[in-house]
Amino acid sequence: MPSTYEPIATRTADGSTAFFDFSSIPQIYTDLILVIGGSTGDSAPFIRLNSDTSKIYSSTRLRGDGSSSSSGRRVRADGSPNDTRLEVGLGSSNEIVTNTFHLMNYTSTTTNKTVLCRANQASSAVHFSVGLYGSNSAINAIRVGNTNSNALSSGTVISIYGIKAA
Amino acid sequence: MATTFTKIASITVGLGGTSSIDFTSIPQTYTDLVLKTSVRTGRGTVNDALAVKLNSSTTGYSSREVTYDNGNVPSYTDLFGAGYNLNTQGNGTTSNTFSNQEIYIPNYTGSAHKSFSSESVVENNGSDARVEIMASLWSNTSPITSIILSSYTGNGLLQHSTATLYGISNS
Repeated sequence: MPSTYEPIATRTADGSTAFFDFSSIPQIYTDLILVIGGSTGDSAPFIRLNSDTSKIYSSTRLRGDGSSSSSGRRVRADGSPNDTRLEVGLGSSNEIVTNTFHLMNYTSTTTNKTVLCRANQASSAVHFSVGLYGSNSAINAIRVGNTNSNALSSGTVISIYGIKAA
Repeated sequence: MATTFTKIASITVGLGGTSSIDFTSIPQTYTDLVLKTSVRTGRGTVNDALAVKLNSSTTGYSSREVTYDNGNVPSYTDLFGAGYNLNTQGNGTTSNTFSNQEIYIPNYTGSAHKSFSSESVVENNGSDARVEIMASLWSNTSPITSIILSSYTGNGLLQHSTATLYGISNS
């Protein structure tokens, strides 16, 4: 059986850093899994790919907050992308939360990149989102940060795994 | 480089069914846990609940969920009294059909409260079926050493129900 679901890198926040950069991501897998576990500081986490700050990120989500369900999109009025990073997670300074991301076919140089996200904050909401990074570039770097640019809480663990289809 | 997503244990319910599936003495050598289940209970309705108890605890669980529930899409806040519960297949559904659940528990050996995500599907050749995603918190600082699955209504888990527990290492 080929080896798969391999750990690529892990960072643990010490309470002083607003973001972590994972660079030189090996181009030998099919998909990537990113797991953020812990208190993410005073806001939700974001991810940025390839240090790309262009407005080419968009997302669509299903949400339940315990009393009602809803769905929505983060795009311009005409439906085109308007974000400079993917903001599909949930976070809090006083609660342990879980955010998982699945980045498919990340080495492709011919397709835009789709990201599936499950965001889980038991006191607030549950989200299921799909994000789009509107670039054909292979993903070789991921930044994980606090949306308000404040520090990720101490003890938050961020891990990246690689999955091989064969 | 280490390979992870390792099977810790897999349990299949035999003839006559069982009252519970128990994973005990869970190794404390991984970073995260993933539990995948295929379950049908003895309750004679479409839907039942799969009660999940961590370390045999019946307290400290809370959740937010959104679900497809027989044509509606409600969201619930759950403050559970006896473990936490996921939608699961009762015995009043199409024969030989089993619900599926997945639970992802990060940092299960840590001393912080345990946040985890789960999802469940109940399919049926009838008017009622369910799909559910849930964010949950177990407000307990103990490392998770056991997981017990049972029918919330006490109707047992039927033959051929299966549950497999995996460990994921981030190093």
